[in-house]
Amino acid sequence: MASSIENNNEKLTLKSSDGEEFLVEKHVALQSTLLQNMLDSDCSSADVIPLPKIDARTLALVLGYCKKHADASSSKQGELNSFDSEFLKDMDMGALFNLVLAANFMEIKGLLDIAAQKIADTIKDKPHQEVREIFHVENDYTPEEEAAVREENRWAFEGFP
Amino acid sequence: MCLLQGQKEMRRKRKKNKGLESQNVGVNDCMMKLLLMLVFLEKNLLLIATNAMNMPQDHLRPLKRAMAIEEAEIISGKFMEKASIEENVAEVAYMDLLPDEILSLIISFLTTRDVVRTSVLATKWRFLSASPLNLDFDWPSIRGMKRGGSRCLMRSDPEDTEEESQSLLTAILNGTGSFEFFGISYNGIRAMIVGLGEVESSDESSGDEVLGIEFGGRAIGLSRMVPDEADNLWLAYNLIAEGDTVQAVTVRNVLREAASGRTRCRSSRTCEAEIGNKS
Repeated sequence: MASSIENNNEKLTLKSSDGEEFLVEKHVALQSTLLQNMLDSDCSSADVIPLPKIDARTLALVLGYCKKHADASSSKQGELNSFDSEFLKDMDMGALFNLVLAANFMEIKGLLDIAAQKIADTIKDKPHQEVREIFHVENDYTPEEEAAVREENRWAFEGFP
Repeated sequence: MCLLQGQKEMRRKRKKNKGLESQNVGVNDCMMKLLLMLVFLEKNLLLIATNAMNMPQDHLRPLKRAMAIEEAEIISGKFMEKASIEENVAEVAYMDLLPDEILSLIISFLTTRDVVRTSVLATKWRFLSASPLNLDFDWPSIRGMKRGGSRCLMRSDPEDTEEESQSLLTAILNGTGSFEFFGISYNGIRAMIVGLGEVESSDESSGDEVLGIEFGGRAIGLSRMVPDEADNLWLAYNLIAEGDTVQAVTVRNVLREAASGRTRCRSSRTCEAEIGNKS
């Protein structure tokens, strides 16, 4: 097991939900706990690994992130941080949410955290009406219920419409 | 994981069957059935294999984690499907399609004030907003907290009106719902409280701390618990229902570093709260 991981030249093939195949170096794939566990179990080395929940566009983004993080040495933390913030900058909501789901599925903690943080930043300090609009949250409160919830937590709504 | 191997085996078998089939055209009703069965099996195997890939790593809470994963799968599947069907991605209700564990993660990056405000988005969010484990408490917005003294978060300030404390209490029980904040006594301007009883202070006698939550619901009866770890809070959160009466008591012995030297103070508070069913 250990020897196969140490060998950086080994590659494996990942297949997205829409059938595209990605050839990645093993040390890049190891950023994903899911893939790491699969490789550790030493069963799938010769196979194409299907990722039925992740489309090609998202998978490409995920692998881009993994590559950067796998290749960077630990001394370049600052560089990685700026890469992370650049990475999600200007990303549309659809892509961002797909990315969160993919990171969750593939168990890439760093990516999951920065993507979740990005979504949180979008919610922060916005009136809830606007948040509903951005994320298309369907309001299933009756107007009375909504007013009651607001009233209960009045302190949090001070200064918001 | 070795199911993948089995899958390969199946594929080989299937190929062999296919070969046979082409040799005996028209005869092979039976063979066809077998073939279909194999296809079916293979499909299921893939499913099983996929599930096996998702086996929870966290052995501490296998049940919870497994449930979350199942949900994540269903939901993310739905999400992908929906996203690909609808060209206009902007119409996708993103938040509804994320599994709760991710939503909780997102919420954990918000300040308490923002978290509480999410409770008004939709009914689901009211319960979600009660789940974060690492709330960053936004002290200035909490009126019941008195700076620089040993105070219980719930009821401390004589200037607070009854209504204000009640609103605060409900906010904590219903909105942020975290019992981690029960019985906090702290001296200092900004404290980060992570987990019950872990109060960042020069407390040398944490053994004196007694924390109890009593809940008497119609179904449960009167129960008493002394939560001593984060999981207990999760339990309490799930047990306490609308209409329950919750009582929390804390007794602490705090040794604090004040400008005038070390002082010793003891604080004890009792708070009662009615959750829901008020209106």
